[in-house]
Amino acid sequence: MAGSIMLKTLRRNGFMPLLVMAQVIFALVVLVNVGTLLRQQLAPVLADSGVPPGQILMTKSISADLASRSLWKASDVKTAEHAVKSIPGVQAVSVGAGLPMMASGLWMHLLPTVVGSHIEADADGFAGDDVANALGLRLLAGSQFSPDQLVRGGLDKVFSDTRAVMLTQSLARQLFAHQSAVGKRIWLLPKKDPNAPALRVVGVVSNTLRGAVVGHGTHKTYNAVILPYQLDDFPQVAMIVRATPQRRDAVAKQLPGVLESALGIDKPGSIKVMRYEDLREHTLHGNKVAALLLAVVLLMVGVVVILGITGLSGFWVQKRIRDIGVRRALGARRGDILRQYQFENLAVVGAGAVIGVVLGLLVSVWLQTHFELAKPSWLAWGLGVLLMLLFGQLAVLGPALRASRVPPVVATRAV
Amino acid sequence: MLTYYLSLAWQRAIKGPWITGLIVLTMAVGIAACMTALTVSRALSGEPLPGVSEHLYIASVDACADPTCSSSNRSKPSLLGLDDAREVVDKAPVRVAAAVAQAQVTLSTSDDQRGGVSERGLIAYGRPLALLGLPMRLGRGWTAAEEASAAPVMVIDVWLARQLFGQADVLGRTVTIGGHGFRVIGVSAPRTPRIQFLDVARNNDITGVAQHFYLPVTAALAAGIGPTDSGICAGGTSRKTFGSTMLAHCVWLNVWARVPDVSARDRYARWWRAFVIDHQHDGRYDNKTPGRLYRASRWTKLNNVVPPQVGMNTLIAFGLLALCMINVAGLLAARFLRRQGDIGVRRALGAPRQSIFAQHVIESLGLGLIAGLLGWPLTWLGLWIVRMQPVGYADRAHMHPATFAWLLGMAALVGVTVGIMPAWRMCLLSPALQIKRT
Repeated sequence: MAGSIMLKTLRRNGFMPLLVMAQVIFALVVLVNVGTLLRQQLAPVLADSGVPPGQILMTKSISADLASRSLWKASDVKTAEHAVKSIPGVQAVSVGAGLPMMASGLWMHLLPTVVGSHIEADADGFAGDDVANALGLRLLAGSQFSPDQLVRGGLDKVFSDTRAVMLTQSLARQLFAHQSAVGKRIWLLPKKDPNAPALRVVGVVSNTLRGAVVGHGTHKTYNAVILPYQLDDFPQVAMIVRATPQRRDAVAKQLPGVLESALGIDKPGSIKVMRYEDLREHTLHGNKVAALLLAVVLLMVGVVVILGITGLSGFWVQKRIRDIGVRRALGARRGDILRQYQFENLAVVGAGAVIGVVLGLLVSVWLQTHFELAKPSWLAWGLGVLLMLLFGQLAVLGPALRASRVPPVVATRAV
Repeated sequence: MLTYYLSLAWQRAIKGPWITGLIVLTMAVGIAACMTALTVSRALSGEPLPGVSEHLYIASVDACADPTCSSSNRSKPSLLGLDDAREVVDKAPVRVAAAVAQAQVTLSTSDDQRGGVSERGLIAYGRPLALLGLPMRLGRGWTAAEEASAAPVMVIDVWLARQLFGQADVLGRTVTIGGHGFRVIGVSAPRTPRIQFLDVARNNDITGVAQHFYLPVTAALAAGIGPTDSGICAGGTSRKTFGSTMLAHCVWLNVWARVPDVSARDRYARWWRAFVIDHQHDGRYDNKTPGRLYRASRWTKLNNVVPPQVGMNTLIAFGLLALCMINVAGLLAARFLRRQGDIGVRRALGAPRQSIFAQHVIESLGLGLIAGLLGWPLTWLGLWIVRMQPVGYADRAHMHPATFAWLLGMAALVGVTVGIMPAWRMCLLSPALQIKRT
């Protein structure tokens, strides 16, 4: 049967197809936007951490109170680092402030800004004397920090005195697009005064997950600034240690004792050491629960749409059972009837999907202005439309098969 | 009539239990999703400190015009330097005002073995206790004379008194902070705001933080006790200086005032605008932002204290409900139209359109109410999932008796709304044609 005649039938009995269309439109809008949110939540969970697996250990922040002192001195930190380095299997160690996964209990939230422009990008700061090396990051361009670039003092000095920084690849690209970032000048936070002292980018390192990863857009997951910092006169210190994979667990056992004796802490068990992977698991727990909730919503949308279309199509078949009988009596084959219902469904769902995409685009623009929602990709829309068509075909299969089994003799009966 | 319609509905329900179950379950899921989201968003909206915060206004201005000021993107500009804050509190045409900044300090007593407790409280100028409407359990707040002479006195709340001394009656005892003794002159009732509104720049919390102690600013600074961080400072110093008292070039205090009515508010607003303009002329304040007053609840909104995800979740829940409703409307239409023959007979026998419409709307209302009952445990489940999340407001996701009333109301509304379209369709049927077809 020609498509045009099928469409004519559709137009004449417009009520049920309209309801199906409304469902498809709405489902598509919800599906694509929720799907995008889900992807946003899952991005840091699925993302590569960028640190060598099975090697990194981090301590929670160690307070000077534990040693009955008010501040840690640079010499304490040096002694501690030295002691840790002598543990067999340790490859690198760095003191840090504002570390990945908020290990140090301190979140250094920065807005690196290109000097003399309004180009800025949300990023976290990792400050320490050898952070990039201790995290096992690769140097992609430029050079490491030279010793004279180390800023020494309390954490406030990081903001006032730092003149050299390294950026992760992701951040470098967001600030400087395709130009080389090395040698460019930035501020850690936007400044009103264009002559405010700037920081020079000396190197670009491989990407690593930032400190607070919950709720950021996917493109910000890897934004981090590495700051050269020698902690001194500051009440809190945290450490990153990189060990060989074979020795890491042994190092993790020894580390608290070694640090306690090096720092003069006489309360055993007060230093907590965590494996990077466990810390990440812990930090991303929230994302996982949120993603679970969104996945349940997606599942419900799918089930509701399939059941809804099945119900409506079933009714439509029943209502037209006599027409089907007539067509069968006039020579239509079972396959023709089956294909008619499948085609009708395709046309109705397809039309709904087109309207759904248009409406969904409007909704997503509105959502982007009011919430931290990323723009759904074209792939997401395509996938949404495809899923809708699939749902539609799946839902109509039962009723269509039932229709095709209507015997021609029905035509002669009153229904 | 009503019972007749209900019995008709009941007969239809038991004839097709599967489709009935599907309709009810679909509605229940939509309603439960919405109720869950609404319960959370209701717990996080409204007045931060009911009965008090309705009358509290914060003075907002960008008081650091110097180009070397580090800019803060965390909250709307509202911080003032100490001298300006004092002037506003003293001269503004309001009866109760205070300048406050949050501090985190370690407090101990002379006979303390544990090395003290670290708690949050306020460093304040003016009358913070009257401002927050805190009832005093014992003693009094500090006087202007004590403030001016930097007398080492403080007010603590009952909770902290018990923490430090093991009892509430601690008037006249001494609390040590950073080696300096402070005499307790008052014990206040403990109070935690529902939503954070004080010092949002220094708090990431969504639900309110209890402030356990109140220190007069001059005495605090004299004893080397500074705010948690030093706010925004000129001269390129950082805003991440913790507990420092080097605040001469910094803006670090919020001025809050208690204003009983609209005319008093307008008077204060005019005064504040004029004050700001004066300082914009002498170049100390940034002249791009005008001086404004914000009510406490508006202030929490402006500063996004409640994360936008909460609103987003509500939106998603309503989207899901709408989808469920469209779906149920379709299913109901199909269900009604299956029996169009009967309706034809009823119409032919003289039933008016209104009663056909009423019959169908009542049927869908009944189904909606059943869905509401089913939505009750589902809402409970939803809130349980919300509590599983490691978010600051997780403990607020609880059911209240009022929630049940809301739920039933919503179920009735949903039931009637989904029924209207199919019912309308049914009463448009022409009686003669239907009988002929049967």
